[in-house]
Amino acid sequence: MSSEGLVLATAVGLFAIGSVGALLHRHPVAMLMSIEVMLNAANLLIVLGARVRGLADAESAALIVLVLAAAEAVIGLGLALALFRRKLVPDIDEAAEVRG
Amino acid sequence: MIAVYQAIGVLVLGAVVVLLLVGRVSTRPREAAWIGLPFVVVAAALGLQAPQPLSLAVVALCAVGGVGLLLVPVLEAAVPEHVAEAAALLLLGTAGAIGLGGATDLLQAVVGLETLALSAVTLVALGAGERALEAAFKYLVLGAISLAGLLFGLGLVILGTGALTFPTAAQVASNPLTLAGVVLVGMGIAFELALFPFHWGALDAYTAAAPSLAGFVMSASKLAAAFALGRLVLSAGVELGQILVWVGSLTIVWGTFGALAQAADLRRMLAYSAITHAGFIGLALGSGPNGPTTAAFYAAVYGSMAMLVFAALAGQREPRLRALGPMRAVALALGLFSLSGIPPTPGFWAKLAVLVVAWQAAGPLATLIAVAGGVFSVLYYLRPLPDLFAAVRGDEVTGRPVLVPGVLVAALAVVGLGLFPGIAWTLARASGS
Amino acid sequence: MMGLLAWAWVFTLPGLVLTALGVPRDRRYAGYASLAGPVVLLVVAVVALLGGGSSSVAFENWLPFLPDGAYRALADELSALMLAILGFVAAVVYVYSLGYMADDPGKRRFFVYLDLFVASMALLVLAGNLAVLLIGWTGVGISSFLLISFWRDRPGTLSAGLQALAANAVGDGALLLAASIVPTGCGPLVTLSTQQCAAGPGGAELLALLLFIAAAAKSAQGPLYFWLPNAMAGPTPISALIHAATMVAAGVYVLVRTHALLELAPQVSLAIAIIGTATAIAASLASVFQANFKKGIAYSTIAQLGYMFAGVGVGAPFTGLFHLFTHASFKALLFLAAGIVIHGAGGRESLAELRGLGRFFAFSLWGFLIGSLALIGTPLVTAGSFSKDAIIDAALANQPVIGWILLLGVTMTGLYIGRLFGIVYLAPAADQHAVHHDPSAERPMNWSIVPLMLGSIVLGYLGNWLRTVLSGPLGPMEPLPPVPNLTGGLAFTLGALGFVVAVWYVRRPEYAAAPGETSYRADAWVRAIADAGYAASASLSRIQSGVLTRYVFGSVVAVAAILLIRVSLR
Repeated sequence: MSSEGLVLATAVGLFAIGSVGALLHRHPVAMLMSIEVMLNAANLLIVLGARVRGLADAESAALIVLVLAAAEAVIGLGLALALFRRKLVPDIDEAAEVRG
Repeated sequence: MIAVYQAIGVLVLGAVVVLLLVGRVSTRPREAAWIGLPFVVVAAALGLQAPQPLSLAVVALCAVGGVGLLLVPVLEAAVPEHVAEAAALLLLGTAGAIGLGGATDLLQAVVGLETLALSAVTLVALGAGERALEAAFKYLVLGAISLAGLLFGLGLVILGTGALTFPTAAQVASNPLTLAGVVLVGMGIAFELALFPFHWGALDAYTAAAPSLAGFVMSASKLAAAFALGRLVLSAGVELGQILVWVGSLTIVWGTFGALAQAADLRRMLAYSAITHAGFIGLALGSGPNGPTTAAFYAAVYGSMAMLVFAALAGQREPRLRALGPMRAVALALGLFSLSGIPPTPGFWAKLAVLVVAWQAAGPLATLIAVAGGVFSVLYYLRPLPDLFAAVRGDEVTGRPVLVPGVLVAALAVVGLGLFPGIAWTLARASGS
Repeated sequence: MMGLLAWAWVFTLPGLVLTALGVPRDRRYAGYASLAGPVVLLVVAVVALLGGGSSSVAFENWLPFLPDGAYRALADELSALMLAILGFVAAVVYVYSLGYMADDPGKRRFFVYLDLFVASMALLVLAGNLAVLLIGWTGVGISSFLLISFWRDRPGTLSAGLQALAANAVGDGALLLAASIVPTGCGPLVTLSTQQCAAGPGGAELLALLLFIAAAAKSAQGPLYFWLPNAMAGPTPISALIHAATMVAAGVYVLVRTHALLELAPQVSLAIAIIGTATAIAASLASVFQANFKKGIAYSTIAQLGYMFAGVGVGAPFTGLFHLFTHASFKALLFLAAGIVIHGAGGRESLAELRGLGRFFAFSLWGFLIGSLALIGTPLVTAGSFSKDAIIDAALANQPVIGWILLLGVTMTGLYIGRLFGIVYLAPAADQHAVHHDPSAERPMNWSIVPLMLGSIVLGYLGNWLRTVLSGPLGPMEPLPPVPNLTGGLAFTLGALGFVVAVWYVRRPEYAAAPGETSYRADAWVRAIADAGYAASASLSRIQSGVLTRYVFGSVVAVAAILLIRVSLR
């Protein structure tokens, strides 16, 4: 397999792993981690695209995406902390008061 | 285009200024709102210089942000120590929304989208209580997942077309990677619009947010997403448009049935109604070449109606209609009439415009669904009327005169758009594009 | 004067504002500021009708996103006639309401809603294109809802109002659809039948069908009848004005206005005639079994509207319009007369409780009698005969089966109205102390129905004059049958027979009025549909479970599905 193909496979594979993690984990931090994996997998794909197509803009896009992912993580962790402050084993499915 | 960037810059500057100044220059947090207002006005003025459809985006978003700022002082009652943050977030959110709505390529769209989304999440979290935090967290997680999908789609588009610009119909047709990428990007933006399979988080967020802020969160996201998706659809063609028609119709059905069940909970009914309106926007977006203009018009009208309703409800943690007082009750009634699509309010004109394009391009079934969703909405929008009449009689009033500016501005916008819808329509029409 | 009439929908707005703001301050005179509106409307309309001609107003490009986005108003002889009817009945009802609602705490609100209604109805009549028609159409629907559910402390009024809204929604939907599908440039209502406009997708038949559905919803025809009997939950003056004389007639009006389109859609016309006739017979039958006084009269309204629809459907729109004209007068008379008795009996409406009480109210008795005679079609004396004969004659000429059914249906008309008259006014006197006379309230009520009594006698003679005056908007029409004639005589005989039989039957002491449903609960089938809808909503709302993992699952599956379908379908 060519190196591009390998990177593509890795990106897709990571994305899949991340999705499964987001689907199955119920600990809020674990969910956020899985989502980070997904975001980075997508980023990898963008970098691949930049490499294959020789597009410098896409490379800077990848860096910007890193920043966005970081911002997302900060807010997510902050909210998780505020929500599950007192719980030793937080379960996201238990926080289901807003529904209907 | 430069004007749009300048507007964004002004708003970001305003956010920074608000954060820095509060606590130093002014001792009362309520002044944070007033400090932020000039920046919004300047940004709107800059926006007027932008080319045609973008100017509507900027002006409408600044108007929404401005009214949001006017309502921030009411937030004190709910979360007194975070007023400055709320004001700053409103400014940042408006900036992000303008970035998304005015985006000319995918990267701008992503950055704008994320800025808007994260600001919105934090604004939701600022509402008082556990419920708001919980709703914000869910909204964030779902938003992050959709962002991941969107970025994956971006990667595919880059692989397929080799550029960051919105792919054209020819590019989409020639490469399945580009098609998949466009679909994923579209769905990512559709999350912001709160269309059917992605509305879960938005629904809870709209329900639990503080009323002063909920209006902004709903309106800004729909406006920005409508403009961005409109450009994407115009560029990528019918492949994406078809999806939007199906998804939009499903959303209208889902939202209408959901709202009918909410006899006891006004906020939840309004949240489902927001979903329904998103469905109309989605349906319009997919309806042929005139669709995006109609969707932009609808989103602008929706922004004014939603701001009016939430401006009237602002300040009360749990809506108590009988305590609203005559002015706010009349404003709320006007907003509900407009949301329900009763002529001659602007909501009616917008719905009619959507029906026209839907019949032309989206087919009879979608049009029928839109008609049914529109007319049967009276059944849930008019339920609060008896309580509102009691409020007009002034049964249990606790007056809050600080609300008058926000409610007044929104009400003027609604009445003006109702009597002269042509103004917004002409602005929505691109000269050329 | 036609030019002024084109703005007639503005006439009640000053009164609305003044009354809403609390002018005059004294509660006893609340609502007086609104009295001028309908009177001015009546005067201007009559003068315009006498003068003839037409005037139209157009502001182009008001709604640039519509195929026809202009504000169009058209005032011609047809509009003038409808506005004259509206002004006449409204003026009577306003004066009547000063008495009927004298002690009601919501009196001011009542007059505000009345003003809103009159303005919307005027706009509906004056509408020159579908967009403006929709404004008036929805406006009368909302006013109707507000007025039906006016008494919030009484059980069931809100539900009755929601029923009206639901039926109205169906009609609104049809009209909205019609407004959206009309091809570009086909705005003005009068040009709907031209070649270009009838050539859109679905053609003239689709447009005509949509207009029919909208009209049927407004006029309570076919399965959409269910809201009208329960609309009686509102105050009696409203039942007279909105649900007898004017709003429910809006359906007939729209069909008459677009009659040229109906000529291009013969199947729809036939459907109109059939449904109108079926509704007439079914409603007449239903009225015989009513236990509530107002509901009995309401079913009569549905039946008479059925006659009007039948007239339009057999290709004689003028006969339908003529009957609308006379019906407005005598049906309003019947309701207002009934209202006097109901008011005197403390608001009770069931026939069992009202038995024999009518004889204590002289004006009411004579009013109801004249109204009943007009309804059966007593020739030469009353208005109803001229118009009803015209419809039956036209039907016999074009669709004989329908004509015969309508003719025989007059028997039932006599039966049900005779039953009502007999029970309330002629039955052996009940307890005299069950009624309460309030002279200051009764004076405006008694005297306000006198014009209606006169109208119910005299208006029929205007038939031929109307025919001449309306030849502009309606084109060439078939001549009215001469008076007296065979079918008229036959119809009257049947009707009178029914009347006399019914009166004799209910006067017997062992007769007890049917112990049926006197409340305004929706019919069982309507409730079933509503319950199904709410059940579906409740299930849907449970899907929003609040559990995040389920949300994520839903979104991921949905995106995957969309992607798969889209990519595989190309």
